[in-house]
Amino acid sequence: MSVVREMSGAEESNHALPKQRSQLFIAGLENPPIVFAGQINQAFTTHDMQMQFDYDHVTSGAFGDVEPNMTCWIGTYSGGYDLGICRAARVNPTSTRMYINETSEIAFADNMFFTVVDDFIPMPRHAKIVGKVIYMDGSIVYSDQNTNQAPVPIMGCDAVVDVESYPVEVRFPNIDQSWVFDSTITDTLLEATQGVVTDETTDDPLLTIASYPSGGRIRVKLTVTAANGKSSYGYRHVHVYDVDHRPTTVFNLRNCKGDYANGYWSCEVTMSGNVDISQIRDRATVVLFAKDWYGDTRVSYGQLEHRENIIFTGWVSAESIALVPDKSGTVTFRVEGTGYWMGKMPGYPPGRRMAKNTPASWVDVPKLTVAKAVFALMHWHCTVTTLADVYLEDDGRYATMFEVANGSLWSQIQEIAGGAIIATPGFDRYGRFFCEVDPQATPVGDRSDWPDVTTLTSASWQEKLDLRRRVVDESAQYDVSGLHIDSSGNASAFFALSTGHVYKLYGSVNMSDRLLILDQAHVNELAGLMMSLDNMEFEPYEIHLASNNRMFDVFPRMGAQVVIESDESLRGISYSGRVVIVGVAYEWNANNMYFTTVLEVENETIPELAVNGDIPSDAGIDKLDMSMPAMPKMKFPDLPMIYLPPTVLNPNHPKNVVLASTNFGVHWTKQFDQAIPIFQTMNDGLTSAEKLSIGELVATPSGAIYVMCGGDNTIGYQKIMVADQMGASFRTLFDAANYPETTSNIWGLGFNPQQSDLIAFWGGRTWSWPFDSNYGLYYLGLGNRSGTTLNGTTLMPHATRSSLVYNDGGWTVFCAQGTGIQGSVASSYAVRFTAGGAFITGNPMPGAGGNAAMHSCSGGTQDLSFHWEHEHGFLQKITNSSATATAQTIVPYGGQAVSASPTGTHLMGADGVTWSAYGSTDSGSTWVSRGGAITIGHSVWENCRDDNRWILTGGSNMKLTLNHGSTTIEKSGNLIFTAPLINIIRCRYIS
Amino acid sequence: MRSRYAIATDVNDIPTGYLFLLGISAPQSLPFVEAADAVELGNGHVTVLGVGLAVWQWGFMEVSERDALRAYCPAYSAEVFIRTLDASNVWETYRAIMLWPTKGESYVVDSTVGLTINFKILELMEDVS
Repeated sequence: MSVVREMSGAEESNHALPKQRSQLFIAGLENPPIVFAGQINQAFTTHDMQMQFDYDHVTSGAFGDVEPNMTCWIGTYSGGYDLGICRAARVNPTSTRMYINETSEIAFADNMFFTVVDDFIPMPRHAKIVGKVIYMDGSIVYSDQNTNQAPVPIMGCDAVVDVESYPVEVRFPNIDQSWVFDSTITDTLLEATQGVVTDETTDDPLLTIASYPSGGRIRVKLTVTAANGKSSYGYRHVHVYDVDHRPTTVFNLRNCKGDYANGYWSCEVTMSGNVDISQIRDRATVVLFAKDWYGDTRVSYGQLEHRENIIFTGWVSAESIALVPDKSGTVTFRVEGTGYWMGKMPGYPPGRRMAKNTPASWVDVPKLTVAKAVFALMHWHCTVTTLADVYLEDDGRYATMFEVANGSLWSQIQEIAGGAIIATPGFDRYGRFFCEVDPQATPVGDRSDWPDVTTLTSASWQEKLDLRRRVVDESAQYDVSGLHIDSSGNASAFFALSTGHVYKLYGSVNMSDRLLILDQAHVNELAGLMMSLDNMEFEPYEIHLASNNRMFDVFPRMGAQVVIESDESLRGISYSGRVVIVGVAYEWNANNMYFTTVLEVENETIPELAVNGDIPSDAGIDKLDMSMPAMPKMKFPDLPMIYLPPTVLNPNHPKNVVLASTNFGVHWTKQFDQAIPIFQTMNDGLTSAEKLSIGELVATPSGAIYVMCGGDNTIGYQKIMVADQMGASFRTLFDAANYPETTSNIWGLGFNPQQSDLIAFWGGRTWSWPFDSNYGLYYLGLGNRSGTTLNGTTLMPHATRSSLVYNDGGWTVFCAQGTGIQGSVASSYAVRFTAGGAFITGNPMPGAGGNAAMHSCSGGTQDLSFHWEHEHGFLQKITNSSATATAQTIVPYGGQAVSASPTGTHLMGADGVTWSAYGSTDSGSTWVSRGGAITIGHSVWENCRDDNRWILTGGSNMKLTLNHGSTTIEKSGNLIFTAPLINIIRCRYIS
Repeated sequence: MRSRYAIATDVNDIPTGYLFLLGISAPQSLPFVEAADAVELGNGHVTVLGVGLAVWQWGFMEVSERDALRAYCPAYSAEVFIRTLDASNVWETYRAIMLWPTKGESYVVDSTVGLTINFKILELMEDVS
């Protein structure tokens, strides 16, 4: 359903009339009426993370008058906002306590002044994460919000009336356009703070104003209730002026335009001495409105019924003041639409995934679509649905997951909409939000969904059109792919090529992937449309209309018919067809007081030829490869281990951390030092199977990250893959197929912490005699991000998950070697190699042998390491060139269940039987329970290169200790939100 | 025929606002500008856009007349209703913004010389004469 309408014949006639002129005014700059004010009555120990304050000395209003999301000023004087601006929270205030959005930017103090004003501005609603619980807007816990969605109120924009005689009527049409996902609107109610509302529960309520209202502003509240039991609220204002209360007259208006790519309108207003400059508040509401004449008929036109006099609504964003000695200077300020403000709102990575069962968290959404993901951001992550109409519509294209990086809320919406369905989100000049598939990416059969506003001819535009004709193609081929996902989450991939397998004569080769599509025909048409858009005959061009035509906007999508006769150009170029609007500007002639409209248009395209694409053999790489070029092989001497003395507490939190999980692949963060670290995935280059089968992850001091993947602990692994840095793509460094012997596999991976970039990996063909006379043949591979070499071999290795540590100037591999008759018994062994990979010796270790997974950690540079076997026996302290094993008191499980400091004196880990935390300060001779300070369940322990700091994780836990486990700091960050139920198996500190 | 130039603060007062009734002599009416700018269209035609402008000018005016006129525009601008000749030489009533000269007036003894009053943003009204 489009909310755009065509111009009527009478409207088209009026737009052709001479003597079009306008008067321009601004509403909204006045200080908004005070709703509730008083003084803070509370001492604060911190300004951080405040969500409420006690108050007394009420000077104005009553707490019951406060509506959620109203602007609240905090100042050092009554009515001031010099300390900051926040907003009333959804929790209603009490007679002694005011609730606000969570904030750390206001220096709250006793006796400071708060002023709740009748004003609503776009603000974020930050998520608050406490432990593992996400609270939207600081306090809203998930119950059923994704199953029973909140309805969206539709009530237009602010209204402005310039009254010549009372009473005056203001209508609120189109209330019936209010909507809700997966339910229906059952009730609507419009209320106003002043005036009389009639037909308040209908689709077209009427507000009658009998006299000038107090403060010149009436607040209107629309409550919409859905059949699912949910209700939402929208607020708008009616700004009233009359002969005794005149609006501000605009001195000049410039750059009033809507930009399709940015997704919002903006303008510059210059005001001079007839204005109280002090009126221009930070983030003040601005409603530009006009009186218009077409010939001698006073009438205004626009796409929003009963708001035709509105030019643009926004908020003051920036100001420049021209100071002159006689104080007759001017003030110029920018006014920006809602999209701009959302672009300034920091957003957490807002992961959403399709719920397979009844959702139990904010991230799980039944029948997930782009519209639902965008709605979540518009409604739960900011206040926009309360102050603007939001139009969204499911188009039947489901998604299994949306995962976008942290950025602004607006960029996240753009990424979700643009990346999945080629939609461009945007606000029209009334502040209404739309998120529709780009007109040129809309299948031709669906283009009747939006109308042509009018037909433009040479009688419509000024002087001339400047057309730039493209004579060389920009694109030679488009390779497009995407997924069709049904409502149960089952996916089918489709591929298309336009125009076909052979490139065009000229142009670049382009690719677009990861789209959500309907079927093969759809992706073929998309490929053809992309090709056609790149190669369209005429580049986008401007049409300078000779009229004040405000029926055009950049959103929602709309078109026009353009007729260019062949005899109107020397080249005989003609065109008769549809154009789509990609830019609109209203140019204001301040001296002579008239508007003209400038349209930026593209001729409508139809798809070029396309064929079914080729299914790639490996669809694993799905993003831009950020890898650095391979570095040449380099040999560095061992680096000295640098660490703080054990007695010194390092208060600095680690920053760069990478982790691996069984269900989300690899995550990284450069913000582990933040209270809420933002983790991002880095699985590019890994196939889905590789991502879900990571057996080991190490990070070298150079920052390169290596994973062993493609298998499990019982069959071995297939690949060693490397990413040059955090966030980069993985590439294959070594494939088990490269071993000289067939049926070889990789069984272990370790790194040298004293080298910039040196790893070792253990693998080969396992013992299988007498079945095929094979006694096994293993290799110690060494490598860096540039390549690998295979080194020394040992006899009779068995198929056992192995581990490698670098200590005492060489490598120790904990693995299973064959003993007994012809090596038929798999026994636990420690095998020593030189730093260069030459075999030294092998020593039997205490252990279950067999095929138990073998794990270990280094005890620093000295002759010390620790070894344990998964679910088998005690931790072993290994000394004497790996020949002596001494049993310890804990029984660790898992690959990183214990780790040591660089000195080897301090260790931390977990007992795999009780999952309780333990610590040692004497190189593992004695172990002390840390259960008092650390909850059970941390199976992964990563030392941060000193004696005190450990990251303790595992499963979905993530904590940091700075004092060897005496206390911990929650570090789950956004993982709970973007990767719920993550199962972390490795964590590596980088710096 | 007496001049029908009139001025009032209310459109209904136009019948009593004829300048001769107010003791103000008839101005010399300069060309009535229907719209300020002419714009050439793509098809070669021309349209006009912007506010219309009516200009009243007196070569010589006694101070008492000037003061009577000034009462309608105590500051530099005011909304008034006027009756004046349009471009077709027809008497019409308009709502308008009256602009008093911002750069001062010239006086000779008890008279003002060359007073020019611009009326901008003309809005044609129903005939109330």
